[in-house]
Amino acid sequence: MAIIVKDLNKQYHYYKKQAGLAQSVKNLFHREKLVKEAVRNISFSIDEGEIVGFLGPNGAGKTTTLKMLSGILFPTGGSASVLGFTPWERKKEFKKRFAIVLGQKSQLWPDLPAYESFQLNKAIYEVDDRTFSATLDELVELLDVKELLHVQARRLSLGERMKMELIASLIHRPRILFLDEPTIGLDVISQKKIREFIRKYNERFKITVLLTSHYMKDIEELCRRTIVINEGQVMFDGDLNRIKTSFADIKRLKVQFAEEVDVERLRSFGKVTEWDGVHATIETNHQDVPAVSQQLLNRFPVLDFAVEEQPIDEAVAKLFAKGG
Amino acid sequence: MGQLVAGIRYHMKIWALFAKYSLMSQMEYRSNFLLTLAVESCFLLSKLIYAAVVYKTGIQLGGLSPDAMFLYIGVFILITAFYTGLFMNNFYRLPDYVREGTLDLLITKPVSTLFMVSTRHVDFAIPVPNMIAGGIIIAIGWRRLSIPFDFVHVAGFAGLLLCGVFLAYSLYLFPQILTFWTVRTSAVVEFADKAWDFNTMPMAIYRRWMQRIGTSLFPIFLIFNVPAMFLWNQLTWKMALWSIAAPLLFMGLVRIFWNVSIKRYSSAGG
Amino acid sequence: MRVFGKYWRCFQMGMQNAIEYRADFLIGLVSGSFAVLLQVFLWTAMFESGDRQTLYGYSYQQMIAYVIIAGIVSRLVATGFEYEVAGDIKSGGLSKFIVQPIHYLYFRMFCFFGSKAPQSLFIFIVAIATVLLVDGSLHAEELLRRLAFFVPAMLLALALNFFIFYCVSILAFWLTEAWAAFIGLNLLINICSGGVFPLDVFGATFMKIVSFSPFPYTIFFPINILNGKISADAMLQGCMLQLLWIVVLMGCSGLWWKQGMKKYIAVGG
Repeated sequence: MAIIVKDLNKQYHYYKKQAGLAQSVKNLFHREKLVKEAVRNISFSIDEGEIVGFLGPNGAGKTTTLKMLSGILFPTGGSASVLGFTPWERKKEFKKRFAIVLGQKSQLWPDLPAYESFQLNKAIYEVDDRTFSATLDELVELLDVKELLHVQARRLSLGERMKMELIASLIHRPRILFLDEPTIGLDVISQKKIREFIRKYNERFKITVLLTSHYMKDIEELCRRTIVINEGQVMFDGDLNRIKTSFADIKRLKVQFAEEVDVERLRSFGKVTEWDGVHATIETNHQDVPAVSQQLLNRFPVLDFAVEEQPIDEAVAKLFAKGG
Repeated sequence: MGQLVAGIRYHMKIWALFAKYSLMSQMEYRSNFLLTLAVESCFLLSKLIYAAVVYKTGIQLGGLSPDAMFLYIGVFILITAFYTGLFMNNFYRLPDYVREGTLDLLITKPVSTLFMVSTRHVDFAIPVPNMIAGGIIIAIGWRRLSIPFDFVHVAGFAGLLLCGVFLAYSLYLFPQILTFWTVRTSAVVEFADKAWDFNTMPMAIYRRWMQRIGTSLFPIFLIFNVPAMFLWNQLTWKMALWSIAAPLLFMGLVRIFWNVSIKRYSSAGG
Repeated sequence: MRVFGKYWRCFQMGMQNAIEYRADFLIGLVSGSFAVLLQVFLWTAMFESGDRQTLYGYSYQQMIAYVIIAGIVSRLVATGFEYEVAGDIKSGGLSKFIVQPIHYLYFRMFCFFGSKAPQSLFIFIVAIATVLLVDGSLHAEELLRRLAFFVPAMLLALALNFFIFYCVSILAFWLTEAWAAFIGLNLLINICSGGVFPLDVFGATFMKIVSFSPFPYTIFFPINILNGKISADAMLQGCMLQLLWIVVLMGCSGLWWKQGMKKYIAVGG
């Protein structure tokens, strides 16, 4: 077992804020303490070499759990063992064996080529020269970024930068990789490339990956096993295909028409969730998309047309509103 | 022993990389670099005016000849150069690291987080005018007082200077760590920064009780006065030992404070 | 009357702002007092060690009074709107004023005076208390005579410093990194105004040179009125020079501003 989590809990305290001078004077003496339970009695275990997806709406406790497993946060209760270490003891041996990528934060020096940041991690993780260049070559080849190594990080596109973040975190060949929203804000092609890389890298090196994402596609393509978490609790743990039909198959067609169309005529294609005369959003099943698109294009003066996924937050919220 | 040497080498290697990267980054913004140089020269000038005003009267200030004053002022400027170049910008960034969550990434690295936080940025523009001026002023004082330029004097002076830099590091980290406890730290930080300038003049100008506090409980005088006192043969053995012990003591204290604070950060967090 | 009402609003806005940020003002006052303390100890030590009646033409009492009052007067006349002006120029906030029937100079000026109003009273009291404390033998008649000049001189000094720094802020039309110029000039102008040491300390030549500039009339001149170092004739003459400088700088800033605006509009600000 690479990761064993038992009854993990995290609460934080915060203070009620009230407006007004009188209140702020009162707050000096007495503040109302409130407790938020970010993570409630979570338990799961992950085998070595698994890729596990962590799915759930914003504020569900995904990132908090990830931060506890990487030793950034202390839990309020419960236990965890990652590669046999207790993460929040922050042992040097432990830190050398895992890596975390936070999609919103960068560890690259913005004004320097990414290569320099790799050099820094080489020194910090005490990687010897030969291992460093072998690892770097491999990663560069997998991600196809040879010509970007010597470009200043701030001049890279978002997708290119994420590739560099991945290299920076993998240069010490960790056994576990935590990924928090690795594809957030990226264009579709970059997302795909990042996913491909994670899959290949996992196959080649049998690294254990735990990843959170907003995008259904990330989870679908990468993780045979998914842990759905909502309001700090595990709602589901297993193969996503088992519950997929209930939400993942729904696609959104966003259509713009050249002239006003009747909403009643659109209803026959699926559920119309938005309509203002010339713009409409229609929800339909995955397998119906080709047929519906075809008919829409044939029968209406369509100016613009896009197929979108249902955002994961909404999907999960719907799922548990239904399932209870 | 071997472990200690390896540890020092490991950290020095990382620090050297930080310095290299900081220089590379700063060279990206050359006009900013030059302007910082210019502004810092203005600050330096405003400090040197004090020295000039005293020097012109020819008064022996608290038993110090005007030439001995050179040593004190030179040490003040030189330590200011080291502190501002190596640490100041890092300390000022700490509240940002906490607010923006950069600290999270630093915590996961297999190096001391405090080391990373306090050495990551080395500034090359701010210390330049101070380094040059401080060096020249000390050299002038050294010559005019005909202090022998031998190993004992140079090594003792350099060693005590180093102690001063470490003491400055330990003391001036305290107010920034408060950022873990309260959002509004600016007042404490500003007071501490302004207190630094009390050392524009040798501590001999202050009352005895102030000197006592400033060398013991809040040793801001200790940082700057000891190296010059050593050269001028005013340093007692007791004081010499204390000036070596104080950096160790306060470094220990600030590390304890840091560890308690970071524990609090990890316990709260979100 | 309507016109005045508009600028009265600016004045009130400045005042409200100052009251809102009173904590910052107090923090600044305390931290600023550190430099004053250093000077008090420095001069005390110099008078004690030197065994002289006067240094640079100042008695011990006069010198102590000078450095204390210089500390607080520096704070009173201190501006800070330079950064806001630079911000307006950089972010295009000036365009608002081009279309509105409000003059940017007057807007800034009344805002500045408004922000200084709450502090002024406090600082006047501290300044007078300092003079009385340091010079116990001062009798009421003499104090009133000095105050009769100090109060108008101080108000003129405030206006004068406003125009000096208004001219400085116009630099932002041409400098992209105006902050450095602001910090540097602030330091140098404060020294040349006598905000750190009395100007006599730097020698006769220096005195002569700066006396051809407006700077001594913002800090050095009003303090020495209160300190009793200036004759009645010189007081009157000084106030006239303050007025003269205000008019000159007002004219210059107007011309200079026009130049800047030309550039601002040319680049499509």
